[in-house]
Amino acid sequence: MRGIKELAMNRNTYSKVIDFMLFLIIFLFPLFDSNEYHLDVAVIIGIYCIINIGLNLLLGNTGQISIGQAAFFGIGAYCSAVLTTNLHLTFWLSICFAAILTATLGISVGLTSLKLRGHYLAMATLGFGIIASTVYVEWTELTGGTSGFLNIPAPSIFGFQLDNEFKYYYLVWAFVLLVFISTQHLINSRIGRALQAIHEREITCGAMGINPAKYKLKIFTLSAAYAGIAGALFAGFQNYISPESFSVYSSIIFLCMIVIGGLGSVWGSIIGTVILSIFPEFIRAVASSEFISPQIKAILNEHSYHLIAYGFFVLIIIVFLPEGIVGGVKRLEAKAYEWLHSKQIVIE
Amino acid sequence: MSFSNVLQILVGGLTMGSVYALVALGFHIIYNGTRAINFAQGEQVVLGGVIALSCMSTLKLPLPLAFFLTLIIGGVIGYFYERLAIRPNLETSELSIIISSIAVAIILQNSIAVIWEKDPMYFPPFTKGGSLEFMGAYMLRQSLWIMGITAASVVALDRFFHQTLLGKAILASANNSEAARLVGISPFRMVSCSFILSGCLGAIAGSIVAPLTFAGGPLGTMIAIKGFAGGILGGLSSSRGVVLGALLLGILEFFIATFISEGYRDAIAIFILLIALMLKPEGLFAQE
Amino acid sequence: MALLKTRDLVKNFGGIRAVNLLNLTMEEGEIRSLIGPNGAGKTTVFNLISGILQPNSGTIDFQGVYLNKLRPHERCQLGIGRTFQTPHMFSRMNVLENIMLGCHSWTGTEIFENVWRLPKARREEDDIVRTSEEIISFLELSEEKDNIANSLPFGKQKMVAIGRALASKPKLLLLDEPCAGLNESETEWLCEILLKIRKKGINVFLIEHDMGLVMKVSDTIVVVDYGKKIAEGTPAEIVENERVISAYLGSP
Repeated sequence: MRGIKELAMNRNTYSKVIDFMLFLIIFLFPLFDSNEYHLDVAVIIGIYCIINIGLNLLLGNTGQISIGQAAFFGIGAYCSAVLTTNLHLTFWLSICFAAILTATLGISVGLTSLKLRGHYLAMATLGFGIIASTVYVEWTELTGGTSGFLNIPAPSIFGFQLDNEFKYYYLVWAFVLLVFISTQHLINSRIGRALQAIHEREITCGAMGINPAKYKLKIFTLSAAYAGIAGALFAGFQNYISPESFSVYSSIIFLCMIVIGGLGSVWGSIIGTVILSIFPEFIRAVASSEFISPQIKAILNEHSYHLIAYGFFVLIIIVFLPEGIVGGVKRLEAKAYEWLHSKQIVIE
Repeated sequence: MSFSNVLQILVGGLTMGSVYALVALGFHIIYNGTRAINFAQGEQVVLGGVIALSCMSTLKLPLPLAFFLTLIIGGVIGYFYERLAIRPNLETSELSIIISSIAVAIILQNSIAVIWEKDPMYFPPFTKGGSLEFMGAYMLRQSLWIMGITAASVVALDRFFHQTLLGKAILASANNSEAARLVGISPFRMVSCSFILSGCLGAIAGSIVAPLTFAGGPLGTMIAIKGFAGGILGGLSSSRGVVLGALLLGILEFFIATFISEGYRDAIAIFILLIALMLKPEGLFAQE
Repeated sequence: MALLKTRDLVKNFGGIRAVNLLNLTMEEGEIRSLIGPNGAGKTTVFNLISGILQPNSGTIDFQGVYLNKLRPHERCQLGIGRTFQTPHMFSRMNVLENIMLGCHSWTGTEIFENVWRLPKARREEDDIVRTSEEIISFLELSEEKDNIANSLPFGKQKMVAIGRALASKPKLLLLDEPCAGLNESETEWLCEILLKIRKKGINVFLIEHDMGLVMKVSDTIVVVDYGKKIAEGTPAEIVENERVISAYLGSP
């Protein structure tokens, strides 16, 4: 009996240990798997994680929907690309500028959230996404239009060239760790509680001394800046960017990722991103494995079967785990506690 | 800007606006029933186009029969869509319904690409012949079909909701599902009906617009966004509002494309929409 | 200086005048009750004072500060705490967190300090926890501390709501029907709590239908009907007042 109580009291410590272990696995991963393609995918996953942690802070914690997150991602990417390629600024500086630019735009999009809610806010952010993706295509002098922005120099940090996936992996995941820790701190602070309160009952907040408008605006700004940083990292990694990566479709996929991972949970953002990013790769791997006859392989490669499978995969998860994977795990955990509890009482 | 110019914009705008209106009505019906946005609406439109094409080219059916068959298939797909993807999440949250609909959109879009073609396919106009000329403005014959069928659908839908028992039951359930349950209306069945109806509307929109845009292809997302935008512009909770909003959006788009910039057409239209939203958040034509 | 002063307060809802030229003056150190028949506009008065609604005309002053232009959270930061008729619990938070939320009004660390958990933010978090724990033991909620607030019985939830309002360190506490839904023993206990709160130097303004409690704890009572003040005085005076009797029972 006492054991259980202690366990419950130390839950905070336990979850910290788990956080540490999971990040240890993440940081050891390249030492065991040096396949370039795998690392490439892992870098992109890390970049998406940064966006999705910000998006989840906005949607899961504050209850403000954004279907325009890819726009900030794209603005960060083009900003960094232009600054490093055309103006020969250093990579670090370009990240800073990307964050500042997207944060400023985040404020203006956030201002709409003070007036609009629910589906209307969804439309406003979606509209912002559409406007941004039109600009990427049409402003050809700056962005290169549909043919893309070419020859972005490989970034270097203090003279240290980040020219391969291995080095870049550590850069990106260090950023993820930073964003993870700071968001975790934020969620468990007075601000985090205020955000939760805004999510649930905006009217009651005033009586608590919370200013919903201020926090909504700040979180919009913060999540936009996260996406902007992710964009700068993306541009530095790719050496070539095109509007496709920042379309409305990407925004929608980001949304799917956090809902499937678990709203309001930082791990939820990471898990959702990892699972939905790996799934298509998994299907591709199955399609090219030697167990499958060449004829079927040809059909699989030619058509978009893997995307159909992807759709079904998302559907199955959301139908069986409407609260996302983290929500499902939590429910399982609660059941396990209950079960242990009952066993202990029986023994006594 | 001459009179024929204005007329030309009105004709083009009302043609596309009519298609958006049908899509917006689909959004409206489902929004009323579930408070969620159906992201698969655009793909249902594309599906309508390719099914109608197959009915005509593969089954060699005459156009009216193909049209009705498409309508029925659209409804059936709407039914199964609701049963398999929406029903399980109906009582959890709007957001999970939205994600389900995104998943269905992905499935439909890629299934269309696999079963038919990846690229848009030619779809013959409903009636042959050149464009009609009227006071210096030109109009495709198909435009008349589109506006006519849309108008007929809007009227039929209005009749359905206000004069039939089933229609009234759907409205009642959307308004207050608890009270509707007390008088013996099953809210689940009503949501199911909403999805069937919006499936039918998608099929209609798809088959009438296909001669202009071709059938299939990656058109769905944009049509869905425009329909949604039009609906929001007018006020998603009112059926008259969504139709007017969608028509207005269509005209606005043509105006911008003609006088300002073809490339920035969508961006500017959406920007104006955002300003309208900020000034009147409940929609331009929403009634209390 | 009066603690709270309203002058000619008017609030219309469409054609209905919910609050009609209301003048209230509340002095330091009292428990005052606002009573009146259902629909008399009592909650509207609270909503006007706490800033959820804006008056059509008239002014509100709190310790000499003109309140009309201030938003709800600013009024809370000035020292006006309130509860609602229903508990308004935050369903995903436990009791402790709900009460900690109340501390928002007097804490000030921003996103930057909290993201990096700087010493200032830590100190503030400790303060918040300490204050909340004190309130929890004051209201005898220690056993429910870790439970999700929504899962508590109704009476306990209302206690948590009072605790949450207390956590904002108010000078004036507005309680909207704190007794509604409580059983007899809970009501008695609430009585004690209210008297203890006054001893702490917090002024209480309460809307209540339970006359037993009102008569027992109030220093003064204000009676409103159709948004108009019809009587004001000590409990003994109010019981005798004929206009009050006719408002409640109907004119003979």
